[in-house]
Amino acid sequence: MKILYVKSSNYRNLSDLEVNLHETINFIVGENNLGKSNFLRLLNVVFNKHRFEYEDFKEQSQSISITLKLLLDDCEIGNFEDYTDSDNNNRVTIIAKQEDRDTNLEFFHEASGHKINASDVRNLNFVYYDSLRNPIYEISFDKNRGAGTFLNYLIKRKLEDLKKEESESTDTTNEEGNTPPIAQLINNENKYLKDTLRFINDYLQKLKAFKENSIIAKYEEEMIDLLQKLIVLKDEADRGVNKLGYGVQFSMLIALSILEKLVIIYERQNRAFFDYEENDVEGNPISKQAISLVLGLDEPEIHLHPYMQRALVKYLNNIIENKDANFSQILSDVFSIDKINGQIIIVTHSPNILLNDYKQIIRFYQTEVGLGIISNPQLASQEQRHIVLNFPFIKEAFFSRFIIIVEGESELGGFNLFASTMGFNFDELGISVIKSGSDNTIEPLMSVTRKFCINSLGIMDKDKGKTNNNPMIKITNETDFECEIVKGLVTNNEDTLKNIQKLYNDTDYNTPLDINQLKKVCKKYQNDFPTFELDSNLPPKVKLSNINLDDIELKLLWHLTWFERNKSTLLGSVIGTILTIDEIPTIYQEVILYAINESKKQ
Amino acid sequence: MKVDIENKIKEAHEGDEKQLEFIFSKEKRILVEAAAGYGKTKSMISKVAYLIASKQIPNPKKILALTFSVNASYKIKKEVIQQIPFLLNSTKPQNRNINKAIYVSNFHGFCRRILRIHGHLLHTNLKNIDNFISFGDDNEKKLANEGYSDTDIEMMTMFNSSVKNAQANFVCDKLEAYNQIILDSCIPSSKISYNAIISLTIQLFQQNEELLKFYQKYFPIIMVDEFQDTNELSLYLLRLLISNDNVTFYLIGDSLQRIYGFIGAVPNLMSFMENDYNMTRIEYTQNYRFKNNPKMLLLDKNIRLNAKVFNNPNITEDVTVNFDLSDTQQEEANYVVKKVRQLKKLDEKAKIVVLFRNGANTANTQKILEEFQNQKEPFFYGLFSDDDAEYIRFHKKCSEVFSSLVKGKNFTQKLLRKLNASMEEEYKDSNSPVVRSLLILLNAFIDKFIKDEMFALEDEDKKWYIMETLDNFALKQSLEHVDAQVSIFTIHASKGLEWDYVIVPDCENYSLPSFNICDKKCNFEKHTNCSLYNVDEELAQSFSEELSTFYVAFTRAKKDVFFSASKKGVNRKGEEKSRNITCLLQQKGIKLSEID
Repeated sequence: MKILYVKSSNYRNLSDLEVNLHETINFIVGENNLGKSNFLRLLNVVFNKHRFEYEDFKEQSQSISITLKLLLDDCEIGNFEDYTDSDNNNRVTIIAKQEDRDTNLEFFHEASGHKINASDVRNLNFVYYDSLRNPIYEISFDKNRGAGTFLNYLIKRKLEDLKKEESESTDTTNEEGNTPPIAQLINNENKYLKDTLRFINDYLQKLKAFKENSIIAKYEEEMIDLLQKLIVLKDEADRGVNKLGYGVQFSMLIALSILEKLVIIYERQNRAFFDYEENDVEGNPISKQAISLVLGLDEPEIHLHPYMQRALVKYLNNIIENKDANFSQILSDVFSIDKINGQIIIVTHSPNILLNDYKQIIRFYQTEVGLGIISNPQLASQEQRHIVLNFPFIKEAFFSRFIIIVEGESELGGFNLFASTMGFNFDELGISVIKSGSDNTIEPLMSVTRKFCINSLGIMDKDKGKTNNNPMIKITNETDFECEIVKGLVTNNEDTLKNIQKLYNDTDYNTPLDINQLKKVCKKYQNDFPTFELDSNLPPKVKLSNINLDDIELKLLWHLTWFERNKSTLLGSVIGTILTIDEIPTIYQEVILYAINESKKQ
Repeated sequence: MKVDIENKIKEAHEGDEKQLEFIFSKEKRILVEAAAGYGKTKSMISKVAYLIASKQIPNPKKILALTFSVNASYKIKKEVIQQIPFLLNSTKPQNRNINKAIYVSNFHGFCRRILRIHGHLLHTNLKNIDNFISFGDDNEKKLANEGYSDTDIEMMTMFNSSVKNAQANFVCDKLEAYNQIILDSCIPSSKISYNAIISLTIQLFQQNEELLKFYQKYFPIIMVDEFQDTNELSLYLLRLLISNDNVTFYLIGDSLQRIYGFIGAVPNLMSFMENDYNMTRIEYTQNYRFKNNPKMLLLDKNIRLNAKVFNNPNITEDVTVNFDLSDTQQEEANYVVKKVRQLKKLDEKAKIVVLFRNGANTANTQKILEEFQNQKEPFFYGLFSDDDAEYIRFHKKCSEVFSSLVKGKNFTQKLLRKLNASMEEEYKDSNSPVVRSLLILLNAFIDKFIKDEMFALEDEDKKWYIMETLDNFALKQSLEHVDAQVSIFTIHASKGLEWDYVIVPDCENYSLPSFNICDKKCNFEKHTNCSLYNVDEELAQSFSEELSTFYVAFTRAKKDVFFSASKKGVNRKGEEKSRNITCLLQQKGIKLSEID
């Protein structure tokens, strides 16, 4: 089953807000303190608990009611008996309602108002994971709770198998009958411990985090009282899991949390296993079992470096789409599950974790009247094209209150530093600077981000001579960013320019520039040099020191050529570092002040 | 495991190949022809139990089993519940799990279920269908009294008669117009006609394709019992449900037992479906009821031969049946009572039934009932049907009383006794024989429950069991536990039940066949004798249905059947008129023995 839609009323700060979810994976993004985690907590109560608590009620005198639209795979049809949406045989709309804090949650079929069994709703199997869990308490064979449930289960299961073998084999007679005594366990090391360890490790190595970090189950001889205590997880260097970094621990914990849930379901033997048929190679139908699983992960990126963040999300995505062969094998060997019908919902503050599909983004944002939520907005085909192309560059924008869209890399590098020179911190204010790559893209990007309720201001170079009717797009006074900087400095603060060049090149600013390059740049900035002609006596390589101090135009051209040659984010940062507040072009100062004002409004 | 189950079933069915073929068949479309006593019900129950026990019903899907009467559906469910623990070698009752794998009802019950949940798409008030008053739309006068307009009445009665006369095209063409009248004029005032329960469901599916698709997926296996009695409306609905190739369906019936032609059972339905859906046909060949009873076996055989080749049955051996001819209806009444007493003397434990073609309100039937009363011969009164208003009202009342008694209390024997007492009290002033019989049935049901079933069940399941019985109007199922040695039933109501001895009085024209056929269709006055063998095709059609009724009547007997007639009968006006022995007893292959 998958959650397609959630609307809550009177639940904390999420009251009356609608969330449309992506069928496979969702990233809930937005600033801190907006209630993103509340959304997962809400789902956790609906699917795992009996009732909401006192503090969940926005108004104590009113009921909490949650509208849920669930998507059912064909094999799941019937889970809610006759209850279905009449316009889609794979969808059902359910209301979860709790009258007051002393009663339990009840479920109803929206269209008929009939009651639906809570146990049917729980068959969705919502696994809630937040990074506040402490892995050390869970990743251990003697913990029969949390993620330890699965490790514990593996031991239990292996012991049962061994017992069975024991009773079936005729040559081994065990007088006591059932459980082999510990001494025998230890002495007959080969048969019990090694077998058990091999069995456990076979499975653990199928979990990515275990394999990559070379974590295996071993045994410790001084702890012989219980097999469960005996077997511990260690890495190659014989360090216990508890000695390893949090990141490693957490990456193991997530996969184990899923397996924990499956142990619970499996042991309960309830009706959460859905039967379906698949044809084998010869076309004969084979019976298979599927299970529904929805993962709710709250900031899984905590403790993980960017590469691991991305890897984790891709790994989980593969698990839920049954593309991780190793995990699938654990499912089928241990639980006889052939397929997961599942979905992932991740609350994150990390742009790194986002996959490249805007439809997976659910953005929480602050409005004048409170919280707003936007997901999968309707985009025109042109807008879709732009967002798909630029998605990798604008991921960060989803976490911002306000964005400034610039054309090139130099601006991208410079803007943050301009702001800090002006005494503001963009990060604190939730402002981010996004590069559009070209003047044509600024406006579409603004409209796309607007669809996600992110306000923006664009700053466009004058060079293309575009007429602009959009009040939210500012045009530079000079031809472009470089020209804006150079022109502002060349006459009175040329030393600043030289400092930029020096810091950037880490050598002498007196770089010789090719005459042909100067010609090219002169042509590019023809509006700035309407009557200027290059002196035909200039050498093929022109140094700044060759230029007469009063030949302002040539100096300007030389600097512009240098900037043109070295354009980059790094150069932008260098500019941003060096310029004093008086040297920052006024147009940029205006843009920055506007952005700061807008972000403070929220 | 599966082999175990299969072996157990093979044993239970004494290796009957045809039955086992059906039970184990993987075919998706099977038509089963099974005569009375050929193990039809038993094999259906085994089929369902086998599908469930061998896990062939994918969770969370269900088998939809449709029967003709509510009672039959309840019986099947109950027996499946009893059989599954046996197949699975488990002592644990599995009621609730089985409940999730199978839904048994009749067409009307199934449609009510759908309308209760999804009917609001047609009219909001359909949500309350459980509290609606149902009515038949055949009686113009009654409809006029209810205040329907002339055009509405015309449409309603025409639609009703087209269903009854199996006019498929009319039913199809006028369905929406008919529904519109029901939606405009009946549903708002919480009334619904029996036909509309089905016709509205059809419309719901036609207008909401996704809903139909949902049910096709939810019920991947459909089984219809007594299929020969399906009318055009139900057939229409069924054909919608099976319009998806993935749906497996089994149609089970006996063309000879088609006794509901008068309410529209589609003629030749079995062979029509067989051809139209290219179904695999399995015909049962073993008569179990009369296995050790050569005389009844021969009677059964000869009647079936007559049914097969109407004018020229291939009879090899005549059967002599018990027959008594009296001069008057009064004498016949004396004979029936005397026969009952004789049989009781002969066999102290024998269960005896007297079966009438007509209900309690005909003079001939009354005469015999009176004689029983005059001679103080006790009997259980069963001349009511499942959809008798009084019968249904009693169940509803009982369910209501039970709900209030059980609310917040532990389930005890005492509570059940209290239910019994409350109902006795509730109806203490009633003279209705239907009510008296229901009180007896309720008592028998509770006794049996306390004695055999209660201890095996969890509290919740106990409640469920009682509610289920009452809500399905299934007290009649307890008949086998009623202490009565003698019962009096209509032939139609006796379907599916069994007794040791069956007495069929009034084997005369105007009674069996019924008045309508003898008077209107056969035009007997022109004939000097009630003979069958030179009638036209239309009459043959009507006759075949009477033959079915006759067939159902004598096949209720495990040991023997006694027919009687009188030369003079009483007509509606109470006048004595001369009567002939029924044509049904003058078929080829039957000889009458004047005994006594």
